[in-house]
Amino acid sequence: MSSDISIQQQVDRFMQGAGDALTDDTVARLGFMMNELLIIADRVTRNKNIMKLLEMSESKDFAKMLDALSVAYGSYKDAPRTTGGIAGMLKCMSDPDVQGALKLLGSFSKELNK
Amino acid sequence: MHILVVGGGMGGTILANNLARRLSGEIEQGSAKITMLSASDKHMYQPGLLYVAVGKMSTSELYRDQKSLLEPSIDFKVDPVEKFDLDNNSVTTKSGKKVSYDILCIATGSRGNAAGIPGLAENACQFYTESDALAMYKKLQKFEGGKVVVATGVPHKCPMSPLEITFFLIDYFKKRGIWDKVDLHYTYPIGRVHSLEPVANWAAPEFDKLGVTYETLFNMKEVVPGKVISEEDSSAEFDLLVTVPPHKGMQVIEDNGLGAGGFIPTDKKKLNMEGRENVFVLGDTTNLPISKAGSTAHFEAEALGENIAALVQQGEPVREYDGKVFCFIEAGDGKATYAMFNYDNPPNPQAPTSGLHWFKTAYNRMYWASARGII
Amino acid sequence: MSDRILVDAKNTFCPGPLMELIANMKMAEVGAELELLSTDEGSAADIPEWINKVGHEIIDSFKEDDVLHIVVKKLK
Repeated sequence: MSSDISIQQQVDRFMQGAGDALTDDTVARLGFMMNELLIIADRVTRNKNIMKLLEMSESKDFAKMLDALSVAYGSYKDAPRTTGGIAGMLKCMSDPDVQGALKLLGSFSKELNK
Repeated sequence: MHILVVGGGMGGTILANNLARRLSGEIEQGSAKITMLSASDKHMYQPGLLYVAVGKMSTSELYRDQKSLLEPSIDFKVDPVEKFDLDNNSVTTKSGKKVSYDILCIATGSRGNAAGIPGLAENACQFYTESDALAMYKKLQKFEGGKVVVATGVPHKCPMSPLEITFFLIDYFKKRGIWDKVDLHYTYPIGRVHSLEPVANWAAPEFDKLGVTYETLFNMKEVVPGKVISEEDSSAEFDLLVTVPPHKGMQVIEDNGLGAGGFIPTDKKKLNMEGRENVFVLGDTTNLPISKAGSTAHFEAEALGENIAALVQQGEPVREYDGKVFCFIEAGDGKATYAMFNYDNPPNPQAPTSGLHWFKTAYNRMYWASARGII
Repeated sequence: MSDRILVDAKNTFCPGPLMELIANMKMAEVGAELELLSTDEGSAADIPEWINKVGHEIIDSFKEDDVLHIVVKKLK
């Protein structure tokens, strides 16, 4: 088999091969997938919230927040169960990090209520 | 500005989505609103019925929820219109609600009217509803050979279907290994095998090659067991009769006196109902002397979408419908071609290819993206 | 004279003038007159052919500004 063929012939052979390999079912599935992808792409690109989320995700703060969530959950999972009761609550509340967390929640609530 | 779209088929859905996209700003501000009233919560891909009738598609692939196809800003209600009061710009629905509008778009479609030919429903196969297409497939599965006749009523939607069903039947009989036991006879209402002359000029020699006999100037008058009789005093005997029934517009259009046969007199370029500047008609519901095809509804919806949006935003229409139609023609044997034309340019179909058959196969699944107004 | 039904099939390819005439004839009452307008060259032959085959009547046929007018009466 000579490899000395033109670009056009290469394209023709590729199309021939693709055509021989394709079946109605393959084309139907590809068509279905194209359909779903087009619909999703259309919805995503015209959904302001998703576009905003995408924009936010590009900031360092967003990455830090995701990391913090992940680490916090890890330490929460591994931490011993709290004792509960008023003594337990007082101990918790005296922790500066817990106070920080309540402050964060407070800012979040303030923004929501604006 | 309240735009009311009556009918959730191909034309109505594409139009409503097109308008919702163009008028998204106005809708958000509250200066425009789009409502759609439909008889069904489901949207059917009607061209798929041809494939269901010969076992090439399953009925589950024919439907999607109408709501899932519509822009969220469209107020969609399953509450069909029963009365039109065009003088007072309002309609009354089945549930008794009165809905007023500034602009009305009627896209109620058309339906097979087998009752128009005595004996057709009892003695013949059809494929224009889900139940008819399934019944036809069951009958085909039991068929072991004999005389098959294809007959077509006037008017009908999907102008290519008489040829397509014929080529699909040939494929089906060959696949079942009974083609040599079948005597296929094709009839057609006018003096050639298809309304489009280039298509007829291509199809007739194909029939000759395949041994399909044909009779033209054959308009069904009556069907009795084993025989279909024409207005032209001819007849054809059959063991299996496959028909494209004559069609009518929807009953509600006739009941409200909007147009003879349920087809509304419409301006061919502006697409407004004759005598009504704020009522538009598209798809099969018009009385226009053009193909009753999905693509017709699609292109009309695009022109109307642009025009109605311009009317709302600028007070003036900007475009006219140019009569564009694009119809695939499945030619059997894994090949297809297409006919494209408009008011000024006749069709010039090329020889069928497998590439075009795949294009159609893919489009059968990509239709939903076009219904949403994306393609 | 009762109203003539106008079937304007000028510049139409599909379904075409004869099919438009057949569809409109179906909706018309027996005795009605229909005037078909066509710019299709074949209409001059195929419409009279169909009218005669089915048994209706051609009342008039003329050309005006490249448009063929055929007036038919539904007899049955």
